[in-house]
Amino acid sequence: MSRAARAVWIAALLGAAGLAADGWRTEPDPRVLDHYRRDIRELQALDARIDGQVMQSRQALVAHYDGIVQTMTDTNTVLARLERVEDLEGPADRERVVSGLGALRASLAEKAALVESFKSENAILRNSVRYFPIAAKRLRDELAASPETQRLAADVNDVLVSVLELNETPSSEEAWSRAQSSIDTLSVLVVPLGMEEDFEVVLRHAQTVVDRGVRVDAMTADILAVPSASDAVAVDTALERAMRDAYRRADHRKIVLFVTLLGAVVGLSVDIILRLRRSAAQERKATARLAEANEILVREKERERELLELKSRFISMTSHEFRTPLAVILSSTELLEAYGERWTPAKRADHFARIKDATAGMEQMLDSILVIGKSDSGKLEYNPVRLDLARWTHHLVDAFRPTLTKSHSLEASIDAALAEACVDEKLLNHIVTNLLSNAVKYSPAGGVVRFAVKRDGDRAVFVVTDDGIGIPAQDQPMLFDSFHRCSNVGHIRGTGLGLAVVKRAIEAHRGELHLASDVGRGTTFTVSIPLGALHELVE
Amino acid sequence: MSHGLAIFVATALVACNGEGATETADVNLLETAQTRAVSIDDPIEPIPLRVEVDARKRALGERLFRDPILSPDGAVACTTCHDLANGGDDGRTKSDIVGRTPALVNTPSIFNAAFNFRLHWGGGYDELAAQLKVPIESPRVMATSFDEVLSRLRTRPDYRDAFAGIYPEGITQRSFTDAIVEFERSLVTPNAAFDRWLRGEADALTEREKEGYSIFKSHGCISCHQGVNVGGNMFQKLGVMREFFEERGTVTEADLGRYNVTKRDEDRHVFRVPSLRNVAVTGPYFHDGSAETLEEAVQIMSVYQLGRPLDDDQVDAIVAFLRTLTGRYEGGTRP
Ligand code: HEC
Ligand code: HEC
Repeated sequence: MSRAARAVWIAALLGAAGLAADGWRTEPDPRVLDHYRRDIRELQALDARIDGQVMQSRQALVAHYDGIVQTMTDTNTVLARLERVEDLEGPADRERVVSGLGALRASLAEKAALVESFKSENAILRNSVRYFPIAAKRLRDELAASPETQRLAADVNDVLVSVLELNETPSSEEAWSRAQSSIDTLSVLVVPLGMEEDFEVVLRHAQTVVDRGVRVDAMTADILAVPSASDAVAVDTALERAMRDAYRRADHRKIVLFVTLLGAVVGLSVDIILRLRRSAAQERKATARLAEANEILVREKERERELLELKSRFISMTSHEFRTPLAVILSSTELLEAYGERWTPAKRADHFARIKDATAGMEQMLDSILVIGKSDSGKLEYNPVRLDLARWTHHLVDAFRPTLTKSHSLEASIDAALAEACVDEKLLNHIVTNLLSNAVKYSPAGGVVRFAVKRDGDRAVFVVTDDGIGIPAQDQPMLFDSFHRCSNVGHIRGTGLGLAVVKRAIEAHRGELHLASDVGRGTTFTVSIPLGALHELVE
Repeated sequence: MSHGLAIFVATALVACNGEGATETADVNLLETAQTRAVSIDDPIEPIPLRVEVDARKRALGERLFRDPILSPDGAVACTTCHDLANGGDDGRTKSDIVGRTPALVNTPSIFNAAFNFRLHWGGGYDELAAQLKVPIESPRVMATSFDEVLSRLRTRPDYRDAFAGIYPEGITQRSFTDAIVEFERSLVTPNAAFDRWLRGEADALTEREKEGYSIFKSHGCISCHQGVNVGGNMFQKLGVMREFFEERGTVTEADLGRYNVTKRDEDRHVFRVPSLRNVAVTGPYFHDGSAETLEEAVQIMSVYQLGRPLDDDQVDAIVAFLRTLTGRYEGGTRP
């Protein structure tokens, strides 16, 4: 071959190699992808944090919005980063990722706008909620001091009480119309000279609480409903598909290029051919490794995504659950502060009892959450001790009885032949107490709850039977999921945590649970646990 | 489902037990719910004592900020309206420079602007970099274009060298913007008496000033003016509790505030709640510069924003508190 021809061949080769390098470049760099994925996850986490912060602010636990502003800013930064990486895709798939990003941007923008309005509205509401009782109380007391204005004092008091009640039960239509009508009544009354301003202030703040409370609650719901987290997942999925396509395309392109290259180098030395082959083999190997790494990442990501969704769901759920008792505590405290001195001891005691109940409820909920969490992560401690089961059960029943109201009764039958057992006392207590209190809670007034404990070979069997509302068949598969509440519970309050705890406590004992239920007729739970499985259970 | 939940709760447990600080942010909610049943107002955050900026970019930015070369007639610099020696604004109701269209709104202070969640009275800009096009192009300010400014700068060897020493690409819109923004980010005023008090210097405030802060919180100013800038983190209507504009009369376009940005009806008369940092030295007040004195501004706020008037003594105490928000600008090499 002449030198000139050789130079042409080499130039062609280099050109082809350049093309090949281009082909490589369109293939995703795993590190970039890694960042990309991390950003998507971070975005989801930030999104969940915004929801949490909004909810907290609504509960009036947080009065400042710098945290929300910061989270929104972080969200936008991460989004901008995501959009910059989009050009790592081939043109066809890019579209899907880009449109996914568009949807994500739109939902985040929607959320941002809602959060902005929320901050403004919530600040005003919070302000009036705090100031209104002070202003109204001052006005009422001033009016009450003089005999001619006693009647007006009563009207002001109506507004005060009804607005505070509305604030306590924000979703009640009835409370709302009571508050509004007391405001309407007061606003048309003839006001003593020189006090017009005071009346105006009270009315204005009362109206603010009435109007904005509803609005802010609706806004909070809207914010939580914006599907930004699922949009992020959609982008991720589109990216996934785009990547797989990119691999396929890259492979195809490589074959074509390889053939061209081989054809081109025929005239050149064997040495070059060999070198090329070697590098091609390396390329293939690298591609295979990449694909493998990718698959691992995909699997890992699947899990992380699940985790994230749960995390945000968990945050929303617990915040909701804590919100009710917190609101009760807050309002009772405020009411006590405002009128404690004037109230009768009975009324005061009533509010203290409400605070105590709410606190106890929260404590119990935390307790349940901790048991479930520890159990699911394999960290639930199982500490069996020797226990005289018959005595222990008697004690438990004695302790349980005083919590029954007159409308329910408990029939207990405890097998005296129950031997000593090796069980975790705390967990067993969770099991039995939860089953008993559920049986009472979901039975109509006059219901009888039957509780039997007996021995069956080397097992202890606990049976709790009620003639309550029963558990619908379609709910049974989810019965032990955290936060699941059956479709027929109606207004009966509950957190959906009790049975989740029961199930885990039974599992810790390697016990079994059997359920028989008829809707409208009643439910029987049968729990059976080994009496002395100590040696098996301790590793 | 339960698996994910478990991992999350498990981390929560670890953090609760104090055995590790991982993922504490995630459990904040839970912890807060447990421990803070009664709401407490957080204090205002002090201005950070230092901000991280690139010293060379900052110096170049400052030179540009002070240099009337930015305007075609060589008459106006950024400092014409944002006077760094006087609170970062121009002390006028609205700027009114000879040869320029008069401004529609009062000039806000440039100090601590970087801490505001949005820029401008109507919150039309998210970032300093994007905002820069306004003073460059607006007929009320420089009345020029980036291209013109850049070509004027390119005629100057000193600027060519200064840019080339920092930015390989030389004088471009990007490098020009970057330098000015870097300078703007450095314009913070830490060490206000109030910040020193927040940081634990107990006698940095007098009893009267503390009383003012206490009224500022209890009367409800803090529900809007809050955070590190004592404002600048949310939007609010001017006239929440009582119509402001109906009583003031003759509504102008500038009075529509955020509506001019979003065109949504509910944004009429909505403004970014302004920062009260250095407020004692940045009068006149409000977007229209309609309040000459702080006392006047505070009284208007209490009537129109809070719906409960203050007596003179309370106004006086709040003003005493507001005066403690004046910090010191400690950066700045003068050319
Ligand atoms: C003619 C007076 C004038 C000059 C000169 C001027 N500005 Fe301004 N600046 C204003 C006014 C007025 C506003 C408020 C505009 C609005 O809210 O609509 C403002 C707002 C700003 C803000 C936003 C502050 C905030 O917190 O909202 C920044 C940043 C700013 N200017 C930077 C600059 C820079 C940089 C220059 C020089 C290139 C400059 N300005 C020159 C009058 C001026
Ligand atoms: C409902 C929210 C809200 C409340 C509450 C509120 N402000 Fe304002 N404040 C604003 C808004 C919005 C502006 C800007 C109005 C404008 O410029 O048109 C402002 C402006 C100001 C200004 C003028 C700042 C400047 O640079 O022009 C001062 C001073 C001020 N407020 C002090 C107070 C004080 C003191 C209180 C408590 C008595 C208070 N504010 C309560 C929203 C509020």
